[in-house]
This record gives sequence, C-alpha cells and structure tokens, in this order.
Amino acid sequence: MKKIFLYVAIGLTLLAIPATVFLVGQQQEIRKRAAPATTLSLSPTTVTKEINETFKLNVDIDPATNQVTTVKVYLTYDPAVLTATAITNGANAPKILTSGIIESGTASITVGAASNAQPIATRGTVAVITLQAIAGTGTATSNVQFASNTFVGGLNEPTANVLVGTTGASVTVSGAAPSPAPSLTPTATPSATLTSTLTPTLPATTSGEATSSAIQIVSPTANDSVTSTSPTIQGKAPPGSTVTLTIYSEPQTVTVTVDADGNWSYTPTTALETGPHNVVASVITASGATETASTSFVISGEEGSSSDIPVSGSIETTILLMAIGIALLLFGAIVPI
Amino acid sequence: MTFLTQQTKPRTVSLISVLALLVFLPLMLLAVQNIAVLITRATGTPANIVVDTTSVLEPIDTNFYHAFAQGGEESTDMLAPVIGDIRALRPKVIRLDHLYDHYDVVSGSGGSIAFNWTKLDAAVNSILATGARPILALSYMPSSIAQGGSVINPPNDWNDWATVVQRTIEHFSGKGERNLSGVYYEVWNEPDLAQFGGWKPGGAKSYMTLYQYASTGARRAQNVNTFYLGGPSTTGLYKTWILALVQSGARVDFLSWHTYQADPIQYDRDQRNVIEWLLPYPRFTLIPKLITEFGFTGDKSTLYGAHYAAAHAAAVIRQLITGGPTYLVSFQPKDGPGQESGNGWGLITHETNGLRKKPRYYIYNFIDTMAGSRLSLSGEGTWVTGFASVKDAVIRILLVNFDRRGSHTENVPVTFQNLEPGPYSLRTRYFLGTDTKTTEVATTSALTKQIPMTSQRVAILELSKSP
Repeated sequence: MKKIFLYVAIGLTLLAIPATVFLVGQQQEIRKRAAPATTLSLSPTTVTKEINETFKLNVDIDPATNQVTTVKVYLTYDPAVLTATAITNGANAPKILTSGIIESGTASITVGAASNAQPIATRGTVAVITLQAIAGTGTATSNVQFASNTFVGGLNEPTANVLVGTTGASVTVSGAAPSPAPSLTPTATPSATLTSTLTPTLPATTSGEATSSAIQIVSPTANDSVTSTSPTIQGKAPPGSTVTLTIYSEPQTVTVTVDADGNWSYTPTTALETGPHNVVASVITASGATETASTSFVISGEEGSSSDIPVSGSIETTILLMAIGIALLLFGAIVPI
Repeated sequence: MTFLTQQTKPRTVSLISVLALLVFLPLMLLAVQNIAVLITRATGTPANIVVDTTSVLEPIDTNFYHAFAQGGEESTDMLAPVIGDIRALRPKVIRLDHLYDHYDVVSGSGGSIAFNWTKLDAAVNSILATGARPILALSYMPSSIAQGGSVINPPNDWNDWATVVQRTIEHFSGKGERNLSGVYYEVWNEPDLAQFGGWKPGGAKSYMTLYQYASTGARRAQNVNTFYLGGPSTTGLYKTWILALVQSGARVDFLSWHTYQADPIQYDRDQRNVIEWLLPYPRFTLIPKLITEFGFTGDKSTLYGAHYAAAHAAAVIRQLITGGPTYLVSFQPKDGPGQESGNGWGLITHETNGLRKKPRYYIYNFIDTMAGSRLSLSGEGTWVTGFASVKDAVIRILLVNFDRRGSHTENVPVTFQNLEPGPYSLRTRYFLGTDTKTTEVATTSALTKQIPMTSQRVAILELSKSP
C-alpha cells in the first residue's frame, strides 16, 4: 500500500514537471509580449522624383508582439523641397481618430484599429501621405522623418507607448537645390552641412524585437512610481546630439543637448499632474533615421504604488531552482528514513 | 474767444469741460471698441478652394450626424406626433432623457421598489418607429429613492440606484423583455449643471459614485443583449471628468459630452483634445465618443428657426467629416410648447405651433448628397469652409459660409484640378435655394468657377463629365 502511494506520488511529480515548465513558459511568453516592440517606417524608403511630381509614402507598422490600438503619426519634411497635399489612414488602421493636419514642413494624423477586440497585430499600412516635389535637391537628398511625438498605443503593455523605432524615407528631387535665402549669413548652419552629407540609403527597418538603440532612457524606468511632480528624466545618447523629449499626457516637448559623456537629463519646469505619464525621447542618427526610446511612470504623490507591473526577466534561474526543488522532493520521497 | 467763454467764468468753463470729458470718454471708448470689432471681422481669410480630383482619400461617413436628442420639455411621448417626419431624417440614434422624472417608472424603495414601464415604453416605441436605436440618459434620480425626494439628489441607498439601472437595462436590453440590441445607456444628463444636481468628478457629491453604482447595476443585469454604458454627459468636454471616468475602473463603453458652441472649429479641437488625453490609456482611445447634444447656443434663440442654425450644423459636420465622433447628436427634433416666437431648439415646431419644419431640419439629408470617398481639398477660409467627395465619377464640393455675426459675403473661387480636358456638366445647388446646371469646358487640366456665397449659405457643386 505504501509502495502504491509512493508510485502515485512519483507519477504525479513526473507529470507536474513538464506541466510546470509549460505554464512557466507561457507566463514568460506573456511577459515577453508585455514589452514595447513596435516600429514604424515609411515605404518606399528612397524616392527619386522630378519637380512638380506627386508621390505617396506609406506609413507602415510592424507591431511585432504588440496589440496596437492607436497610432499618432507626426511627420516632418523640408518645406523648401516638399509640400504635403494629403494625409489619410491606411488599410491596417480603419479608424481616423483625429483628422490629418498639414502645415509647412509637418503632417500629422491619429488613426486607430477597428476596436480593442481587433487591434493592429500584423504588419501593414496605417497611414498614407501624399507629397509633391517643389524644388530640386541637387546631389543631396531630403528626408521625411517621424517626429518625436509620434506615438503608438498598445494594449496590456507596461508602457502606453510601444514604439521603439522609426525609419524615415529619403527623397531625391532632380534639379538644382534651392539657392540659399538672401537673409542667410555667410556662415553655414550645422544642419545644412548635415543635410548635404546624408547618405541616400537608410537603414533597414528593425524587426519587432527591441534592439540596442542610439538613445536610452535610464530613469524613470518603466512603471516607476515617483512622488515628485517634476521628476528628472535621464538617459544616454550620442555625445553632442540633440534629444527631443515629449512628455504626455499634457504634451510638453523640449530639446536637450547630450553632454560629452553621452548623458542627458531634463527636469520639467512646470509640475506634472498626478497619474500616469509617458515619455518619448528621440534622436536623429547620423544616417538620418530617428531612433526613439520611451518609458512610462506614475506620479503617485505618495511612496510606492500598487500598479507596478513586473518587468520581463529570465526564466532559466527559476526553472533551475524548481528542478532542484523537485529533485529534493523526489529524493525525500524515495529514500527511506 | 468763444461765446461761451465770453459769457461765463473760467472756472465754469473748466467744470463744463471736465464734465463733457467724463461723458464723452466712455462713449469714445465704446466707439473704438466697435471699430476694433469691425476691423477684426474684416481681417479674416477669404476662401480659395482647390480640389485635387485625383487625390482620393477615405470613405465619407454620412451616418454620424443622423442623430438627435429630444429634451424633456413635456412629460409625454413628444415624438409621437412627428414620427413620420423624423423617420424621413433617417436617424441612427435618438436620445431621451428625464427617464425617471417624466415617465413615472419607479415607485417605492429598497425591498418594495417597483417599476412601471408603460409611459417610457411608449416613448421608446416612438424612437424605434423612426428607425433609430435609443440612447437612454439614465436621469434623474427617481424621487421615491432620492434624498429629500429631489430628483437631482443622491439616493438614500446607493443600492437602490444600482437596482434602478439594472432593471432599466434588463427591461430594454433583456432577451426576455424588449430584446433591443445596441442600446446606449448614458449615466445622467449634464451632471455638472446646478439645475441637474451640480455633481462633481469627486468629493462629497461625486458623479463617480453615481457612475460606479450604475456600473454595478449594469454588471448585475442578466440575460441581456449587447449594450453600452457611458458618460459623463457633461455640458462641455472637460478633462478632469473624462480622466476621472477612465481611471475609475468602472465599465466605460463610451464617452459623451455636450457642446453648445458657435465656433465650428471648437468641435474639431475637442476631438483632438480627447484623443490626446486618452493616449496614455490605449484601452479607451477606440471606444465610441458621442456628442450627445450640440447646437450653437444652449439658450433658446430665434436663430434656431433661421438658416443660421442650418449653416452652423453644416459647418460643424464639415469639421467632423473626418476624425469625428461616433455620433454628433443634434438637439432637438421638436420644440416644446409655448415657443410661438420660434426660439425653440427644435427642428420642427410644436404641434401647438403648426409642426412646421425649420431650415435645419433639411440640412442633414442635403449633406448626404456628399456620400462617397473624400477628395483632397485645400484653401478653406475664415468663413467659407467645405469638403469634397467623388462617387460614380461625380465630383462634389460642399461649401458653407457660416458667419457667426451674420453679414459676411464672399465670391469664392473654386478650382477643380487634374481634370481630363473636355466638356463637363456643373450643377450648383444652394440649400433651400436655386438649382442650376451649366456646361463647362475644361481647356486645361483645371477648371475654375466663382461661386457667390452670402452669409449662412450652403451649396453643393456637382461636376460630371458630359457624354
């Protein structure tokens, strides 16, 4: 009788091991999913046009493992070379949440999935911008880029903004570049120099997995609960570059310069409201691509927060400890006292 | 020396001068202010409309503005005498408020609470007879359960309020009762208004408590079809109310507010604001947003009986034609009684005043002509705005000259770009006005016409290729 009981215990334990590994793996999958991993890119990435020609650029999304509800697209371009004539939604974002706005050098629109039950979970086009070439670029190119306040909202994620990277497009317009405006001083501005040295090929769109980025937000970390209504936001980026920071929910956009050690920081000058906030930091890399990093934090007004979501971690240690524990249990069950 | 200075003492002259200055200074300030207003009015941007006939954008939604809200100016089924007229408006939703203080639904409290749906059923039946789905504003507090018997007070026992909501949902959405699907239940009506209780988004008389218990009632409702619970139905779009609701943890299927603003741009601004506020809450960006009452003023005005109201509705619809709310609800289908001066909010006058249709009644179906895919349009001005569409190779442009002060007239250049050269038929239809057809020849890829637009005029141009 005692032996039967022992065999049943061993059998149950043997069944429990794969079941536990499966369940832990699933948990890890959920945690893995709970990480911003969405990228936006323009397609085609390179365009060559004649003056007065009209062309379209698709705003494509790769949500990776995210379930996207909302995409706020904010594009910038050189108004001396291009003019936007229209912006609308794409097939992958059937809802227009706010109508498109076109101004000199910028175009924006906020689009959405059909519903929370049908989020954007596959690659596709979320918006389409129509542009017209109005001046030549000579041998250089003109970039169409995502601004730092571009935002992608995802369901069930630790941060509301799940955007991790953007890739713009470069446009070559046949014909001489517009001559400098007479009011320009003889000393060329750094941005003019940068534009002329940009390479026409842009880096390929990153995959859905988050990769090492030119920009990082060191603090606050995701879902930090802070008490200060003016928390210092710190991060890293290439030395000397300019970081554009946008703080939601009442959008505040500022730029900060990265110091020689690659550090940057910003402390809001006006107090933020209590509640959740998102921060998007972006920097334009030497290749012309915009890289972004985002984080979210909660201003609780008090120490600690019950809304903290655990960050994703490795399961190897857990499995090892569990395996040791099970082995000890088996040892204890088999070896007679 | 003047006669006055010759005949009077210097001190008297000084006194008269000072008095004259005191009298004329305010008058002069008033005159300067009026001149400033006139100058400001004259410094808008005239429209220069350009439509790219090849730049086809998203499909146009012509459903969202076929929505109406009947206020409780009488404790009767107000829509019954105008069902046919309202059906002709092809309404998608019709909102009703004063459920519990006009239709004698609830009696008793606690264990002896009882419901009589006879009168409310009749009112809802009238809504259904028009082809619309009801939006039921769960208002106000039934006096039998309210503190002090006042319908704008909290209940003596919040569980009674939850029971009232539960039974209302079960009655209309219940599969074993009225069996309606897709009913919107809006918690209260204009809670922030003193006359409707002066609720706050927190504190002692908190709307959030009212909402939480309504949500509890909704959760308890059994054997029901799909329905939507939402709010806060405030007199305007207020960030604190919206965020308090989405942070409440209660069931929120839609967000609603009212807008009584003459400036059409404000409606677009509100849409942008609410989405911006909701970005940190991705679960709420996609839920329906309903402007459950709108108009150019919340006060009664004879302008509701004029072209002014129709032009305002058209100008607001233009602002929301893309990126707009799920429903833009016009207040209201029918005037109350005693509004013979024509100052009621209604699209139709009261039966005691002839059931006459006002201009605004006709604007919704007129705008429906614009169904199709939106075309890229640029060059809107301060007064004249518009949008364009294409359907079955017919290009249409809607123009509206809404001038809040009612005097601006403009001759609007309208250019159709990227046309195939050749003959075209151009139909120019003014809202409740002339309808003319001309033949135009596009010798190049562009065709320009001058369209006279007097104030509060709405026009639709239709361009089609001649065979």
